[in-house]
Amino acid sequence: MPSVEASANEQQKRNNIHLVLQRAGISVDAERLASLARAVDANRLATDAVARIVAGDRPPAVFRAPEPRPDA
Amino acid sequence: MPDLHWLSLAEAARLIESREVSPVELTEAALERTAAVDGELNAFIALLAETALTEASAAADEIAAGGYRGPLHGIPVGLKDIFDVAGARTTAASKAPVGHRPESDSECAKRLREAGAIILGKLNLHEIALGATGIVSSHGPARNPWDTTRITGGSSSGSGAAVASGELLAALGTDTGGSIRIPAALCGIVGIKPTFGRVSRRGLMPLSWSLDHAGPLTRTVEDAAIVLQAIAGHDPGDPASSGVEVHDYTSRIGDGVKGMRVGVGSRWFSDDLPEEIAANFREAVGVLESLGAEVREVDPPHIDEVAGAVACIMLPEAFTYHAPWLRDHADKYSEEVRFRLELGATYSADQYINSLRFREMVVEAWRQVFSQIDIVATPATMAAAGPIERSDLSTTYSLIRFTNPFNFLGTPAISVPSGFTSEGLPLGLHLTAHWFDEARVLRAAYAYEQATDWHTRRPPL
Repeated sequence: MPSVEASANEQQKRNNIHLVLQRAGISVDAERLASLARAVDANRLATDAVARIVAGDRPPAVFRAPEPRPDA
Repeated sequence: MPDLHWLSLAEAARLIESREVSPVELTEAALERTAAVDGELNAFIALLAETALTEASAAADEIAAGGYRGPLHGIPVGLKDIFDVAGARTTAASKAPVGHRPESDSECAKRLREAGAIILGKLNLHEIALGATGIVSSHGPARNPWDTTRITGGSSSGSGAAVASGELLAALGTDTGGSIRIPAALCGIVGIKPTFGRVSRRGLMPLSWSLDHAGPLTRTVEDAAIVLQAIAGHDPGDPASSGVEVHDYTSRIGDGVKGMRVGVGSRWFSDDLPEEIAANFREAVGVLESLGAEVREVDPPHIDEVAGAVACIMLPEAFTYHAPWLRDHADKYSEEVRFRLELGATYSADQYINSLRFREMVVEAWRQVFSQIDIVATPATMAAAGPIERSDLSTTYSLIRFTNPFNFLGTPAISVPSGFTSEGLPLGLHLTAHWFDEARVLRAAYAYEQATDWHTRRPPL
């Protein structure tokens, strides 16, 4: 079982997640919050890398499969 | 004549057309096979035996009257239980009240029926299609026909098990991060995820609108081409559906790979790969080379970041769809699925939007790759089927690593049987090509399949 002990920073992070989920109408207990907080950290690392890449290129946010190759 | 349930779809079609076998005989053979093995495999959630036999009888009458429709006429098929089939409950293998009893068919079911196929049942899956192992299901896990203590892979777990075991000649699955190709690889069959927009998702329970694809699982590449031909094409009922012309997938399937430029990955594709998987892949690429393919190295940019971006699109979209039930019935979802849905709620708008923007960049980079390469080859998975008892969410990465980048890209991608581990478990070769070039993917997979005999092996059931 994940530890639910938390530093002040960690507690703040969990409070933020709690608020986000609460706004979505979802309630979770302390144990679930601790697990979610760890996963949120990992996801933030991954998406920060993505943010750095797109910051340099500034692509639009649309997706459409490209046209077929002429020789297809 | 071999056992009817082990015929390929194409062989069965020839026998039906020549009236050597009737759709009723074939459907009864599928039902008998299912009665014999499904207690062990748990591939079916719902068996539609009565309606299937009625449909088979009608197909037999139509064929006898000269109304043969084509290679799916009279062929029993199954659909993953997130495709709507009129009158049959769609459960998504969840105890949460997400299901319903549809009055009309999904577009895929409708097209299969129009081609004359017989819908034999609804197939097991990883709950709500959110998972790559196939073990989380309100119906219990589907089991791998090669070793029933092992996973099938998912999320189209029942589709993989049913086709590999001879219960069905073909099944449909969906694929958001590998959910057609992973069970195909782990069960030793063929699975193709077509280009994003090539096959309609109307009437499917969505997992992620931006990444969901539908496609067939079959025992041969030719059979995959036949089923894909029937379900591909524009549908105004799916906003992502493409109007690009559908190719003929079977007429040039035997044209071979001579001169075809096959890209194999350098660093990202080979890092951390277990030696048994790497050796199997090298051997498969060697087969393509011996058939005349030109093998080149590719190293597409930003591939390391794709998995994070896929999760950042998939999980918020899955949360958005399931939020109404998650609010009031969270405890009805399995713990694993509930956790991932709640995680989907925690992504911020900038994370989600930047992942969509990143997708545009990666697509553009791969357009450049596909101007110099015809096919990109990888192993289908980093691992064979693991024991059910030891598989969980942590198993996922080794299953999706080579499949989920191609959901992000939306390119057509296939897994074709490429051999067995020392423990006798199937492995797959994964091939992808330019958008809407399903014909080339099928041609390369067919050439490889015909040069090997992996697709002729049968599980010990």
